[in-house]
Amino acid sequence: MTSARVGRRRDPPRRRTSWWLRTRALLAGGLVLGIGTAATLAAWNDSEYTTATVTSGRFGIAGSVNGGAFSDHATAPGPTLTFTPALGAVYPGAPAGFTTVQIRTASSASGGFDSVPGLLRLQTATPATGVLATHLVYAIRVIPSGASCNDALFSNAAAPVIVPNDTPFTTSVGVSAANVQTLQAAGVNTISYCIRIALPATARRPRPPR
Amino acid sequence: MATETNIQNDKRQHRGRKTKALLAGGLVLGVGAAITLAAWTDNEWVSNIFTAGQFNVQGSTNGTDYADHASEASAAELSFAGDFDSLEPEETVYAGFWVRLAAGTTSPATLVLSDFDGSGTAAAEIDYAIYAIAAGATCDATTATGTAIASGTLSDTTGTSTSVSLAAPVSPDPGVAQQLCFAVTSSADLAQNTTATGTWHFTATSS
Repeated sequence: MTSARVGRRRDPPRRRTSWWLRTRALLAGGLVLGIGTAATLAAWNDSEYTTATVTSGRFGIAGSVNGGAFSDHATAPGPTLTFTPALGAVYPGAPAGFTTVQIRTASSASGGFDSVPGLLRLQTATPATGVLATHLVYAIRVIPSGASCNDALFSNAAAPVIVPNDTPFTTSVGVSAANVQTLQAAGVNTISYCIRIALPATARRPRPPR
Repeated sequence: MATETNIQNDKRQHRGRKTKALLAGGLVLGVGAAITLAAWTDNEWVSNIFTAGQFNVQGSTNGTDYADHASEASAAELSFAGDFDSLEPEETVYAGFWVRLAAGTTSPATLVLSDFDGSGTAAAEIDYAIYAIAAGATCDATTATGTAIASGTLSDTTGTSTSVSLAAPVSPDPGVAQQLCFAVTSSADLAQNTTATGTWHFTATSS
């Protein structure tokens, strides 16, 4: 009992000493570390800077209908197509009407900006409705260079088929490889579509509404 | 009060003892110095001019014409292949940047991207990656592969990279160049008519 108490009494000073020793050891270690860092800083340095600026492009297309001027028609329904010969009071077997729609990318030369190139696909915004729509047939082809928008085009193998011949007017434009045209930048090329609409001679008279 | 005086006396005695000890030490040193002075002396001088080595890293945007671009203001403008000025969504453009140690540099070096600063309306939509490729290679989709030494977005405000070794030149030639291939890619959300600029700061450290 007595010796244990003595031991306990001696303990605190020893602990203080070891604490001081540890602190000094740490300080010495810190000094060594400090020297190590200084050595690294002694190396030579030299800088090189490089910079880059990238700008995103702009994309825009302009359209022309009926052979008119190109302009933006960014909202539905857009300009009205005029068919030749006119599709006024059509009757079964009447001559088919033709019209052209032309698309190209915007260019500064035509008062806009130079557009980036793109891919053009024609699609149906709103499928045709109405009694007559179920009887009309239509076809759309891309007019190749040197060809015209007429009956001959629809048997021209070189003209990409967007909508096959005599497709019911209520059928939307489908997705096909032919229906992806390449538009070059800044209006370099123009894609011309030829649309043919007819009321076949076999069309029956629409049933009068009850 | 009495106790205080005792302590003060103790202190004074203590200080006196210390001074005496110091003086004794000083005397010993003085004797030592006197002995040294008494000896015959002769001098031998040797001299050598120590010239500091040179250290200079240079950059090039075409792999042929090298220059120093030591500040952000004099940064080398990367020369991209492709329409970097008319970028489309999800498009990547490539540019090479060559770095080498200038002729006369006396030690090899390690090069790291030490800082980056980017800005612009399209900054958040433009990513970059830097690949270390051979000096003679063409920086394009086929060579900008593997592990990039650095990558980030042009909206970053800092940048780091893994290090690239630059060989010490063999006089009188400059060091062998290292090409850094920059691949800059736009995201699908890139808005039209926007711009982003990035400035890369490389530091070469002698090794």
